[in-house]
Amino acid sequence: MAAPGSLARRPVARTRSTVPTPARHIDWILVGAVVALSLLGALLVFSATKGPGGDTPTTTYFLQRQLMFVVLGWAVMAGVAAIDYRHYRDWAIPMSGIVLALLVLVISPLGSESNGAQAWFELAGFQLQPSEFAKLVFILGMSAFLTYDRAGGLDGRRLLIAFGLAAVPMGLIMLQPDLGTVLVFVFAALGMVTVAGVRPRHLAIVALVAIVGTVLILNSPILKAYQVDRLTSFVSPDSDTQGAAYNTKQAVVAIAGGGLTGQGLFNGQQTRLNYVPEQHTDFIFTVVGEELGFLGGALVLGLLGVIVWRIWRTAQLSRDEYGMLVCVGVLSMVVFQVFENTGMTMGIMPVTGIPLPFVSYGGSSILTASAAMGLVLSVHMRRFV
Amino acid sequence: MSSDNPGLRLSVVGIVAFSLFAALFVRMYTLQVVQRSDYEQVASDNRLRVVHEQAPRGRILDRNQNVLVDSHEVLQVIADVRTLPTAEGEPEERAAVLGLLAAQLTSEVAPVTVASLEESLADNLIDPFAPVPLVTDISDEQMVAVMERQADMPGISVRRTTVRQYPYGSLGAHVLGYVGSISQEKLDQIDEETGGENPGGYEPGDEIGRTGVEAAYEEELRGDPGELVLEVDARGNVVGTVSHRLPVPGHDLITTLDVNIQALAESELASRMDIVDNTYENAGGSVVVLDPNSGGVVAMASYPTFNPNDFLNGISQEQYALLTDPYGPKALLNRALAGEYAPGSTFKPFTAVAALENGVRTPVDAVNDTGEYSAQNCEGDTCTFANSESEPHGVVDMRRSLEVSSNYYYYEIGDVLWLRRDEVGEEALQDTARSFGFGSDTGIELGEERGGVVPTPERKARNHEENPDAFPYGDWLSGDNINLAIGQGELLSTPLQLANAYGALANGGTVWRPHLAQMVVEPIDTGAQLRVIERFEPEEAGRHELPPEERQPIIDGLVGVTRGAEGTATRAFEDNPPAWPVAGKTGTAQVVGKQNTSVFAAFGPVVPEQPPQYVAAAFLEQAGYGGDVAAPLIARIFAGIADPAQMPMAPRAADVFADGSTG
Repeated sequence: MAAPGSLARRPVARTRSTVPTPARHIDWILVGAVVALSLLGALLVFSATKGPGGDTPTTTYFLQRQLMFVVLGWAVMAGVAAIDYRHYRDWAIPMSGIVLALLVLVISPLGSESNGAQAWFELAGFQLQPSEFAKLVFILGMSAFLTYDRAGGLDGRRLLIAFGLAAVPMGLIMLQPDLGTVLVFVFAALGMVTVAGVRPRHLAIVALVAIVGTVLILNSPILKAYQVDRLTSFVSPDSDTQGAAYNTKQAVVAIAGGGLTGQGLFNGQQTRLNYVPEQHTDFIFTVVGEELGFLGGALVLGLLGVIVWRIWRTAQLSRDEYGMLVCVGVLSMVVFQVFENTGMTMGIMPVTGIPLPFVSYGGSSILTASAAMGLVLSVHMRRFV
Repeated sequence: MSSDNPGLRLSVVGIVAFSLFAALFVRMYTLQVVQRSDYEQVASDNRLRVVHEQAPRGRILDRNQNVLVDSHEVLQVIADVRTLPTAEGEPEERAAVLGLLAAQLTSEVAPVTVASLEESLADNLIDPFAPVPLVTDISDEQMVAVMERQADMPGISVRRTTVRQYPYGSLGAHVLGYVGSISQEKLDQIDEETGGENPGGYEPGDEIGRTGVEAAYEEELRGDPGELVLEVDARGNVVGTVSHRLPVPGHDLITTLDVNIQALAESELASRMDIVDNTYENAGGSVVVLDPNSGGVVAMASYPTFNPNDFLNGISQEQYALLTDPYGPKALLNRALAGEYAPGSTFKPFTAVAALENGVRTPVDAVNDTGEYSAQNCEGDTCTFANSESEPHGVVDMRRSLEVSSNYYYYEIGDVLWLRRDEVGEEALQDTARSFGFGSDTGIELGEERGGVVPTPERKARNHEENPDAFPYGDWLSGDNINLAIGQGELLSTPLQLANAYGALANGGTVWRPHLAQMVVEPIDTGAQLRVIERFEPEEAGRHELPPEERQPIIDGLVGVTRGAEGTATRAFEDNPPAWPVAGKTGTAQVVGKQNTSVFAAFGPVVPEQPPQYVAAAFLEQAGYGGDVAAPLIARIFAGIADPAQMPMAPRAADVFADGSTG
């Protein structure tokens, strides 16, 4: 196997400084896309939460909090990027321990329930969702395991161990239950093992196990009936007008109503009258679609696409395989979340509670996504050192 | 995929990511650009609640602008039986809802009980999904009381609606018809006929004219429904009004009816038929009065009758079954235009016309009526035909043949016309009958009309061929012509047809299309000028020119019937003399297995200064001789018409209630 660094088409001529400075190699495109998207997201959250208009006073509560999260997120992104990503490899085990402890605590009476899942800690007026942070720690830990002592390559035994380790946090999250986040783990893990050199035969077996597992979970008593409904109703969206399929139908109607140029910011009919549920969080893309139309949706997806492209490019440029796998894990997480979230609002994916990175309202989601970008920036900055 | 080429593996991840983004773009483009319009309707269905408002229905008035059918706006408590707790499933909840409703509605004036509400609900509607009216015409205070507790009464609501009101009770029920909730079949039919356009804007639960004038002039009476479009949020709360199109009230319809003559005709008919009905079950009858100079229907009565009020609040199945039982009294049947009877001797004037025009008789030709006529060249089994009770009338000419109603005179005409068929045609009698409108619909606006039968050799042959058991003979024999000549045999006429044919005798040969509508006007304001939307001109349906030398001897004969020394209706007219001369003819039609149908047709006044103004026909089943029952009936109607001072005023429903009797 070639040295990980060989992937990068490193310029022959060195930079002017003899000691390469990471701060010189910040990926400003990625930073710019993240800043632009999170500000646009805050505006959309405002539109979804400001109230019906007319005589009703406008609410800025959600806007203020979201802006606070966004700014906090930038700080977290900078902070994570400032630390050399290779340190995270060394801290993988203690970080995993902390996250697992939190995941256990959250399903104990200390955690609180919302929307049928016991996934939050109530702390000083904020809801902390440990499964969001668990995604990042999982990516870091999995990358560490896959690049540790690779003499034998990624054979079946190692793969089994990898999935055995992954099963612990996934199992705990399944107990909340939060199938959407578990699926993020599955998708991130699939991305990382693919790049780490899984054998096609094993990949096929993994895919089979994932499918069988999903079917078993859908039929197990872990998921509440409404969750199964949500996950399966997209197959026949007209089957039920008030239940799960109702959400999807309203979301699709809202997006279609936007047309090419949208009904105008703050002017979406379905948005204004609260037809779409959870519109500032999981269904935020319906506000984009209805108020800003195809052009606005293309802008949001385009910015996310730029982010994904920069992550992918960083994976390519990474000087070692660990950095590459971290980027692939983040990339898989983001791609799956974008596809599942927007796909669900457009009726081509089942409904699960997954936020749209940088756009959906919520501190845990923004901080996690920002930290993930910090990791990618860290890999990018240190591609020469 | 090889394990030692991370670059290739990274490309795979990139391609997957790119494909997923591409899929999102495609889906987004499809929804927002390609399929956008498909979702527009869904979006507005979502956001908008359309409240359908029926327009106040136009009124129906008589020729003197007396309101026969009124519209009255009321508040009505209705129950949606699909939401209301059921008696079987949740009896306690149901009792609680109805108990609360009764309590909220009960005022000192009219107590409402759970039992009375259950009774309204138990009147199982013909349409199980239409809202059931529970209490109609509640006060504003009662409405507020109900709406305050609406959350505790699932399935109960209050609506503003207009209901039909009948100032004269059941007067003219058959002609005016009734309204009811539109049926799903009718809605489907409208959709189909108009290609889904539904220009009347009908919605389930809307009123529609079911029969009579209500149905015939539905389009004019209905008006345009209004539409209140409200914007609602996801919870169903009304956020605002998007648009409000006010309903446009229906037009008023002025008919040709005269309420006083209609009332007189109905009461005269009922007083006679009530007696007959006591003896013979399910006997019916009818009277028609027309204007012979236009075909306008002045009065049209059918016995037994029904109360259109019964249909207003949803008729019970039991009531409906009784009204429509084919072996029952068939009270819904308008016998004036759907009852088919042998006209009997009232057909003789038309036989006389056929004789005159085919050169078989002149008015002065006399025959010796021996009481029993023997057919010349007899072909069938029956060759002798007797007068009524075989009474000989001696020497009769055309005038006297009508006055005394000689069968012999007309038997011979029928026989001779058949003998000379090579010369006058096989259907000389039938042609004459048809030219006066027999055998086909008169074309009146009302839907349920029947056309009667004019028997022909061809029809007889066809009947025999199709059903030899019921019709053993297929050949038209002289006996058939002989019977036809006195209005018997297979000849069938509706009362309306007979009156209309006599109208042509009265006016000199014009067969009008009978009609009820005089004009459609903007809703009438008392005192204000009429604003006419549409005026209906009389329409000629046919013409049989009767030169005076033909018409006069017939008129003379018909006047003799009511005034001559030997007239078959002279006694009837002496007992109830109208102020002017009347020309008429009695008929007594034999019906197999039943008593005779008493028939009389007449017109008047027969004076030199003006043509007759009224023509009437009456058929009374199982009532006996025409001169005994039908003739006095029409004599009394004409007496009333001829002397308005003597004419009783049509009783108003309110007056009827006031004196304590039922309406």
